[in-house]
Amino acid sequence: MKKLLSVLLVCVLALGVLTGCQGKSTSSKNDGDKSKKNSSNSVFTYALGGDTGNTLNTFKADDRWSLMTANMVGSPLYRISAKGEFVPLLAESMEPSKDGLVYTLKLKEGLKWSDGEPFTADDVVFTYDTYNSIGSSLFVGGKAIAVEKKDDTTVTFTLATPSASVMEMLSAEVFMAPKHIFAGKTSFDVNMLESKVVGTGPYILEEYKTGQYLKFKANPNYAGGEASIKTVIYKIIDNSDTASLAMQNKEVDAWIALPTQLKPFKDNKNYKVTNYSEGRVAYLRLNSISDAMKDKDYRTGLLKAVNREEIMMAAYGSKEFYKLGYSFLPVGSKYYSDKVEKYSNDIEKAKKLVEGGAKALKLCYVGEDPAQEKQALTIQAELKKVGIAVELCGVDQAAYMASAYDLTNKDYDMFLGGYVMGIDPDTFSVLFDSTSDNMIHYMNPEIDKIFAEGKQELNVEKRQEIYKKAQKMVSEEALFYPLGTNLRSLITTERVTEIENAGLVPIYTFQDVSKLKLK
Amino acid sequence: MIKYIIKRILQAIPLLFIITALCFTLINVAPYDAVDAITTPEMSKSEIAQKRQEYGLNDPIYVQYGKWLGNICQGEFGNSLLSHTSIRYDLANRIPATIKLVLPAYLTAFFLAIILGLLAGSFKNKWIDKLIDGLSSIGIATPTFWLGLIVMYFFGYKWKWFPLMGMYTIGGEETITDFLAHFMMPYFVLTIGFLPDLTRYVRGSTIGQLKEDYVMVQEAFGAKRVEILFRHVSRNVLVPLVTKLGMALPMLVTGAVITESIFAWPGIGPYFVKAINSMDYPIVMAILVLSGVLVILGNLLSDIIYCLLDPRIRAMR
Repeated sequence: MKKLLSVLLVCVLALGVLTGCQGKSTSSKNDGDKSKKNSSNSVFTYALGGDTGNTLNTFKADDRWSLMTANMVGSPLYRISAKGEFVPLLAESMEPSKDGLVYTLKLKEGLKWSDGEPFTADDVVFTYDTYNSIGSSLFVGGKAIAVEKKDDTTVTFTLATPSASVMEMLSAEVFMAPKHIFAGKTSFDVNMLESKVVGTGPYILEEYKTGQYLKFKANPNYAGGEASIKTVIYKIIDNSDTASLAMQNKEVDAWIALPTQLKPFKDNKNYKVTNYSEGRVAYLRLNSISDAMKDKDYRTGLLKAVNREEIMMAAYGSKEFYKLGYSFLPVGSKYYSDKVEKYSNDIEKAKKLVEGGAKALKLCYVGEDPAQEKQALTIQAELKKVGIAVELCGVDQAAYMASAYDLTNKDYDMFLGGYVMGIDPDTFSVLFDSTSDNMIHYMNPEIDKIFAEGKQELNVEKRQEIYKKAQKMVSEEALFYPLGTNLRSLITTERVTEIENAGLVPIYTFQDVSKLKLK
Repeated sequence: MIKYIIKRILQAIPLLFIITALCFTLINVAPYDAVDAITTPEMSKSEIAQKRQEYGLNDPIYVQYGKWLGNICQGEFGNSLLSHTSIRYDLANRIPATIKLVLPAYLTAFFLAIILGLLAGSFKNKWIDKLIDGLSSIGIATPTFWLGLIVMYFFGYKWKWFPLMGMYTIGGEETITDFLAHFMMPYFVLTIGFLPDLTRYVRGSTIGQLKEDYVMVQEAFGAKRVEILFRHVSRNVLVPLVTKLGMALPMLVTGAVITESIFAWPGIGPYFVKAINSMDYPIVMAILVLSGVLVILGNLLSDIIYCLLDPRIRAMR
């Protein structure tokens, strides 16, 4: 007994040393940095739903948390607004040549990195060359865009074939990387625990604490003007119930909530709820290679048996959280058209059309997603009315992607899904163009042709016509049934203002946090 | 003794091999992988293929395992496939955080369980036993996430006795008092989580021991009840408990998954669960190796303590 006690005592002592030492060593580092309460006017706290990890690599970042961090410390040359307009930042202008093959970029004068070093055309060339050396995400027509420095503030981009979406491609998720830091290095990983992150973003990373928070301070050299809020904290809170309590306690200023979590904040003068679209298109798709789906009449019958309004209502509970959509483009896009086959709900007609077809179908969706779960249940009930039994197959995200992207997979007859593509309609072509990746799995050369036309055409009115036709053709195949766009709910404390100015966008939430203000 | 310990450690190495090979195979048997977990409709087929190539997921499984093993032997845990983060740094920060939470909670539960279990066992079917046993039943049936949220709601949100979550105040000095204030709620929840099972275990063995002849002999000699319980019965009850203690060692890594995620404690739990969900095998394997080592060490430790505690076992060897 005594010996056991002594063993335990040693453990307890060891623990004491462990906590004691840690406390001492880190507190000495923070000397003079007095504890700041959240109510302070200069600190804005955002609840992050997961940890970024200690490594930041702006070239490879592809998860939401890393991209949000990259968007704080880094920036593209310019931005494309949701309406498709050019918003200057580091770049003053970007002009295409008449044939649309050469784009000339003009940088602003006197730009600086967050560490004070000058930002020049060399950095631009370095960044794009690096992107092209590690992947093909910036290729046009199968070839890398040639990036050339003309002088310190002028760079040209030369394309192999004209592409209407190239402006967006060169700025979306493309963060400038400092040549003076990375030149000669083989890895672009930055360890946020040990090294300084240098970028052109509105903020500078001051401190990263594993699993706890990221602390940013305003970058005085930001090309968009120094931020009004001097300190931003991304607080890592994995559990959404905890995040809700933290929001109610005003320990955080902003949080993305599910519709079911909004109750304490709605009609509450201490909070503001903003519903905004991420441009996500939710859909039901019929698997074109499944044996049950060969007959177009049968497919039409299925689509007439389901009802998008019912499905979206079941998933999101109220009309304020979704917008119905009838085409593959998100509602709100400049090119969106609803002059398409809508497959309006008609049970009697549907019954006749599905007669003689398969009586049992399998529907695949992401089981962890509560919205898709409800959509699937609704579809099951709707198809039961026309005598079709639907087996619900809710699977893991990874398993879903593996099956949905496998174009030889006949395991499922239907898929529920959703995508967030870009702003330009050409970014959607990969979904339906059979010469490209064709995730939705279309096999219509006419559709391929019209998407190719849209890509090459640079005139906006002509493009609008082309995409109007494309949307009609895609819907007529009776394979793809768009449901609409769901809205994301951002909750902020009442002291947060200028949200519209900061811009609500997919992935990052705020396009530019530096434009936010605190009352 | 030292010879015995060395022998046991050497025996553990092949076991560790088998554990890792098995886990690695099982992860690879799944029809999808980490790249599927990060695929979005935006990504082109060639991008996806490139990622698979880069992560070595196209290699045959024995090549992947060999590479991984080579890295681990050099102390290199690699990077997450999902967020590219360096696993070594993450673990170095997260494991101490988990230990700081789990160790005190488990030890508290352990000591409380010994006292409560002995009491309940010796008063079998009396009110005190019924109370302790009944509470244990409720405790076992109470999900940690629920208790965690209730505790957080009242003590953190409503009465504001303790900070809602985290390990330290952001931007503040990381003092012991600050740590303790953040520590109290998760510590309490975790202790309650560990306690019922251990208490029942002690209670069960106490009841078993009280039927033994030596207790009757002691009673015949006129020993007091307390004396019998704490001097004689407790020693015999503790021997099997030591096994429990040894087996609990891997909990230092994976013992508080739910509590950690509720209280936003920067430990290993949420990190591990996220990695499993997304087939991020470098993280899963790193943590499995660690907890595998701890299982083996835990067994070894309990064997050694056994020998120290019970002269009969020492003599048997």
